[in-house]
Amino acid sequence: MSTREHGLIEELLAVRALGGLEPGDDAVLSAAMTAHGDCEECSRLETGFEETAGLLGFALDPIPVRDGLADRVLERARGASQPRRPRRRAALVAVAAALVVVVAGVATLRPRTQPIVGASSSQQVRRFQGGAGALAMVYEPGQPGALLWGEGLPSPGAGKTYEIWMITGNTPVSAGCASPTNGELSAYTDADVSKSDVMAVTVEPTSCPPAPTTQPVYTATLT
Amino acid sequence: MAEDLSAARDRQLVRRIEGGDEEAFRSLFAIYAPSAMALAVRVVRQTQLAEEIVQEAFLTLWRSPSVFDERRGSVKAWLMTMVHHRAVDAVRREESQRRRSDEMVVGIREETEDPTDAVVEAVAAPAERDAVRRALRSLPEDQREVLELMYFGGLSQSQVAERIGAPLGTVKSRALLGMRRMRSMVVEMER
Repeated sequence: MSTREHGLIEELLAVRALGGLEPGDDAVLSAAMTAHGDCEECSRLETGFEETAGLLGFALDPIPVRDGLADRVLERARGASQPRRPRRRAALVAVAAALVVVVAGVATLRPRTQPIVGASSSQQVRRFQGGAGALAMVYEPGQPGALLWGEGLPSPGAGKTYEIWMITGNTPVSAGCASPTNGELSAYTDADVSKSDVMAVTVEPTSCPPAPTTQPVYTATLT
Repeated sequence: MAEDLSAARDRQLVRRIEGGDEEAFRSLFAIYAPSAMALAVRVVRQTQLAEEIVQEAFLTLWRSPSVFDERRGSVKAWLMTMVHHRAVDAVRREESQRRRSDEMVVGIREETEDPTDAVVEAVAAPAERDAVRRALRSLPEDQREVLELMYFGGLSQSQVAERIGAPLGTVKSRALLGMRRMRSMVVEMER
């Protein structure tokens, strides 16, 4: 390994931990780390910077949260819905509209997407939180099948792929692997999303392992 | 030693949450939600959105506690990282990002003194908060500025470069040097 390459990785890891990377930088970091190969020092730096950044927030004076908020979270987990703020709903509708176009295109190629092609009022859209770019999913509650669509996604790196997980309780079940092309991803899974609590995406070897080996880079809560 | 005990307590609470223990969840929430709220408010500058972010982060904890990997760090850092990622993501989605940033930086310049200069007032603050503040305060001003704009301000490295009028490479270097120094001080504090 070259010192220059290692320096680049360390620099980008530091900026990423602070939340300062842009999508293109994420791809550069992934590519550099993949090209760099197994590197114990890189792993140590990554873990150390992430831990450090995670602790920075404790410099702030705590702000009390309203009473009952923990129970509100538990209620949401049990399935109670929370009213959406209009601004966010508008954003989701925009994503849904985009997804319908994508679904229509995919449906031509993959008949199994038919159950979720129609833009019905019960169609649900979930936006993933986490890494760079935008990743969203559309599904029809009560029916198997979901379409994931993303743009501006960083490459998972050479020999790597994104793996999608349906998590119920504490149990992750693989819904398959997919890699973006030029940052765009369109992938269909026939898993029954309605039965899961959380969807998560991890970066995995292209062998698509049956259990996650890394921390999620994107997550979406399904309640 | 106190730190070791609190870290062990947190890991035990997460293990109990894995078993569906709601009281363990409430305990962890009571310990860290106020700090999570402070971080979210600082980044997104909207109380309602910040509360939503905190809820989402803890909902993820409740639903998927097994995602936590103690080999990669502490529970509290993991929780705060989840909150920070969501907060930064929310900020980047804002269409009025540039205008918001302009307003925010004025606030940050005023509030920069909050984490670092409030040490004297933090008599009752946990040792951890005191230590993180001292570590931040010990950084050279140019490094601290980059860390604070990026982490607490939610700005990307390019936005930071534009904000302070420095080349992007300089911003990256300052971020790296600042994080190296913080890491040596903060992570050592955790041991």
